Amino acid sequence: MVEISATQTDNQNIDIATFYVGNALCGMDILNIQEINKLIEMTKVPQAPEYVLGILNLRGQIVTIIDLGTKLDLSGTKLSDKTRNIIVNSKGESIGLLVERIGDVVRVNSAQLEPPPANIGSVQGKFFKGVFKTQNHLIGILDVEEILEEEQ
Amino acid sequence: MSIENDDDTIQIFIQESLEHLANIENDFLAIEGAGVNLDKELINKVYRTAHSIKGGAGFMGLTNIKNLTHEMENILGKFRSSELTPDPGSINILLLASDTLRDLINNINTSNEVDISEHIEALSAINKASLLEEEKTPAFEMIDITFPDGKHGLTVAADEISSSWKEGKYICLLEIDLIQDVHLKGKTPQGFLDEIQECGEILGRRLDVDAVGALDQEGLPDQLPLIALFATVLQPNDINALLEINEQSIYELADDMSVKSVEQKVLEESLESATEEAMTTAKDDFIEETQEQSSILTESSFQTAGVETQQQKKSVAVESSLRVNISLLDSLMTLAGELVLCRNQLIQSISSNEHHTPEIAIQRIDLITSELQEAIMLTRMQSIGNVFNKFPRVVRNLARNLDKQVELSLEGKEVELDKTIIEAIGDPLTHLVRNAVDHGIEMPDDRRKAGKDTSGRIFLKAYHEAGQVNVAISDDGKGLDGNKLAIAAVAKGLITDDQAKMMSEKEKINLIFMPGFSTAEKVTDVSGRGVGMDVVKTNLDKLGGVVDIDSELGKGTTIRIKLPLTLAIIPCQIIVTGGERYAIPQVNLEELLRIPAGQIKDKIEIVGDAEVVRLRGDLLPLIHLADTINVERTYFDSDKQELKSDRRDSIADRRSHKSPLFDEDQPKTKDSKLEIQNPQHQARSPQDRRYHAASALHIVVVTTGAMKYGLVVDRLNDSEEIVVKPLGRHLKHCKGYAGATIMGDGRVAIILDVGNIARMAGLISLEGTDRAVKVSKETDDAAIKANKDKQSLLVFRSAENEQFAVALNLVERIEKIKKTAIEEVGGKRVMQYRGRSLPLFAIDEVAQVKPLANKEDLLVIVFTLADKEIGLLAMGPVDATEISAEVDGSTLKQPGILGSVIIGNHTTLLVDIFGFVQALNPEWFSGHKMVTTLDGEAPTVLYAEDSNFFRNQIKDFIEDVGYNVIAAEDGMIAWNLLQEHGEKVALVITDIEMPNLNGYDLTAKIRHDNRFSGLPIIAVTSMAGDEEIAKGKAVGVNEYQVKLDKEKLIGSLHHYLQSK
Repeated sequence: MVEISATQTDNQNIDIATFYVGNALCGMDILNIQEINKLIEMTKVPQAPEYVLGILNLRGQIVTIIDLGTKLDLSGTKLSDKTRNIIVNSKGESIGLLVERIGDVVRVNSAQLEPPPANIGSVQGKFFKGVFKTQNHLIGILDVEEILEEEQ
Repeated sequence: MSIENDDDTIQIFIQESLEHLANIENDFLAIEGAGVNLDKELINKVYRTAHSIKGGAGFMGLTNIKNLTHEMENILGKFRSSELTPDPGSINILLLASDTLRDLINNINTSNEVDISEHIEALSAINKASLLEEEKTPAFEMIDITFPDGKHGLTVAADEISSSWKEGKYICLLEIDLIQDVHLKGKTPQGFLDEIQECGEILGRRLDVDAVGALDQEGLPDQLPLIALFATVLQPNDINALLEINEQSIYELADDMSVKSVEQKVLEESLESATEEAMTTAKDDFIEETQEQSSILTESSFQTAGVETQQQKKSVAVESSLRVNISLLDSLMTLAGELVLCRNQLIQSISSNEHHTPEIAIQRIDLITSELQEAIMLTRMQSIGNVFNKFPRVVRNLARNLDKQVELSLEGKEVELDKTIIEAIGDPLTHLVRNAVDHGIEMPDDRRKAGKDTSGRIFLKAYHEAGQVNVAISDDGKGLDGNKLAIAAVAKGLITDDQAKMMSEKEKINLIFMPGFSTAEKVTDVSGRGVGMDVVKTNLDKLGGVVDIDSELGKGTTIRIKLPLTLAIIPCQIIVTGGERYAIPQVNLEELLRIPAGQIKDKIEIVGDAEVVRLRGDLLPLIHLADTINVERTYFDSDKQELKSDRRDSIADRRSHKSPLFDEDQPKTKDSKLEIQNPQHQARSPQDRRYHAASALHIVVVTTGAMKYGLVVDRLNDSEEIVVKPLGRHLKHCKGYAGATIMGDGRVAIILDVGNIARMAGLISLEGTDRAVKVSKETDDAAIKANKDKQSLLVFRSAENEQFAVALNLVERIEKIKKTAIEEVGGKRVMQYRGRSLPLFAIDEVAQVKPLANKEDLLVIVFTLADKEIGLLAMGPVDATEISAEVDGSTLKQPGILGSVIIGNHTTLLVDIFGFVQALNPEWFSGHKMVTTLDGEAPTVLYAEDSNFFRNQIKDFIEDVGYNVIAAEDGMIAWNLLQEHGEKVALVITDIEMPNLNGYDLTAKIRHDNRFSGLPIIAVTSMAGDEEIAKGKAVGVNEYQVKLDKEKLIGSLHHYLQSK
């Protein structure tokens, strides 16, 4: 995992893959991403946490799909042909993050990372590493590991 | 010297040492057992083990391991030379030392820091003690050793040489040039000596000052020979490689104290005759192992010798590895090759658009895949002996500590299981074995008092059965006292007093597996076994194993464990609930039940909010999978709402018998709730769905240990072999699932953990819920009261609104015909059927019922009577049902109608097929000859039957053919009547299920009485299962007949009476 904090001091350029969770533009380091898939048929898991949409077969591996919308306390992701699964690898396991649609890849300088705004909700707040300002948008950078932390 | 140990070398050493050690315990125990009559071969084997480890450890600089094995070796050497006799004391010390040795090897990096002085002291104490006794006068003899060329070598103590030989070492005379071999190679003399000492022992050394030359010579001398006598486990010709000295300067000491150059010896050896080789095999055997190892070691030390020497503190990741048979690996390789060929074939055929070749390729791939799977499985298989072998030691130690005498027998060590399972069952099995010794086997005194052999026996057995591996642990100890267990469980609040009272002995014994049962210390006193049994069970459950316990107080306990062969691929039953597929491991599966909609009413009973199904006399609690995992809601939201939700309601509002027990104190049953929520469903008449196939109930009967329940699912699919995959970490807390698998269509299905599902559903009792126990009792009472006799009937109609039934077992076939197929010939109705004319009749021809409906589509129910077929015209709907209601044999009785019974809210007339045929074709039955007794009187038949209806029916049958009948209402009355009319009775017909004395017991009584033992006995029953028949035959029933199959019954009656 490439930690943004580690690269911050070097003023390095990093590529951020952006995507929409609800209406919010979010992003994560592209190096965190294993692959991006179209939505394939999932198997629902009864009794799973609300944010777990189901599990699917990714080339022989069972992948848990997490709805980022629900997880971030935004509205649940609406399924459409633009919905995508971002497959990330965390602690040796592949996990899919369901997003509304995929945006561009943006190259930013790590020095531009700003802390998340103070008025962001505490639940959401911990999932964001910071915010990038681009010309038109604000990109909330997600802390993938924090998001994938199991809830007790 | 410090060897640059690469990981591989250490890995090999660890592996080999552990392999060597694997059996050492049992060997020690065998040595101990043999005592004075020791088995030389065995001691040699153990000696070699210690020796090889010592050799390897010497190389690696693992001084602790080396020292420890050295001391062990000393003692073993003494055993071998009979200087010491193995006794429990010394073996114990050896065992402890071997434990420590194993620990050291397992933690090889820190092995040198462990304090092993205790063992060393203990071992050397034994050693010294023997020395004191036997070697009081060691001849301090000095021996001169000279080089072959006559040059003086060394003077050493003779006993040092002989003791080194005894240890199986080679002794070499080395001539080391401190300048050429040491100084010029960048070593220091001290370092060099240390290096030597790491792989052997220097018995004596001397600087050959004479060879240095004149001291006054100019410059440094070009040689400074050090002569050393070196005892080592290494073969002399390996020493040069290790110490980097000239081969010519190494000489081996022979038995006669002469020395030979190693170079020479190598040549000689190769010329040596086979006989000599044979003579030395014994010795070479153990040297070989070391040699093999050392050659690897020296090689690696060679390669890295030039590199910077480095203290071997490098961490060695102890990775698990597996030995695989080369031939197996070859076959895997072949299969992989095959697979590649097949793929090529497939690719080619697809590109060339041929149609049949892909099929062939697919067949081949199918074949190869199964073979590949099998072969790979084999690589993971290990014998259960790996686990079993540690038990002799465990049992011995424990028995010694407890002053008990225990014999352990092992059987089936060769049974193979998957590596992961082997690793995982070690602890639970040890636990069970320990328990058997600790709590199962009594003290020798107690055993003697109980009339048993003072030495207890524990029997451990592994065997294959039904694709699973079974492990049984039995002891002949004191067994478990179910009552005490029950009292303990009640005291702990795990079960209630009432529950305890209703439990069977086996259930009580199984309480031991209940979580929370064995936490209290006191339990061991009352139970005889049972420390942490719930933990054992949980562990085995995790492996997909099933554990079962049988115990007889005073006789012993047997615990049986069923284990799957492998965890990776398991056969599963696929089921569907809430539109998703789930897999249930076959190990948990007992059977599949489908209860047709029409029988739900009879089979499912509700008590409170618990549903149970009656399955062969037992009550099985039901769990709705959908409710338990909460998929009910998805049903309601989905588009197909009506079908699925309906089904659920229909089960709940299922027109079941409600228990009177719970009616009063539990008014809020599920039924009443649903009535309020879904009044519209109540409006639906039950019959609407009764014939609706979809509303049948699918039940998967599963077991986990002693818990058995029925899981109600929506649909049953096939059984498949599935590959188990783990679920992601976010789903870890979903306890109901054991993993997931990928189905043939690429989608994922969840594997259910039936044990946890039961827990989630609140099913805690061992054999069903407490409620089920109560229901069982209650319904049993009810059954006795009602004198239930289950009868399989075929229900049909002849006209609308008039329902008939006929005994199902009389029915041969049912044919659908068109009305036009019926021909009227000679005043009789017939149809062409299988090339013959089948006579047809309708019920209204004989009985006073409504005429046959005038319909286009009709049914013909075909019966066989008196070897002739006859067809009864009828109409649908047709249903097979099982009733246990009392048949009313009087109210609606008329010619052709036996009586009536209520089936599904309809009064149903029971058709008397015999009556019909007799009325229509009386000549059919004229063939039977009357049998008479010697006096010309009709023989008398005793008939025991508790159901009024059947008693009258059959009595009539028999009297109709001319015999006398004495009828009895139950077995007891029949027995009394038999005593009374003993002389007259020529044959007994008995029902099986009767109050007071049942058919089996009556038969047994008759058979045991000399007066009646020859009496033919015919058992009549409504449904004869194989089990019942076997049971009947066992007690002496001559023949089984089905009630209402009048013809056969009469035939059999004739047969027995004639032969009499």
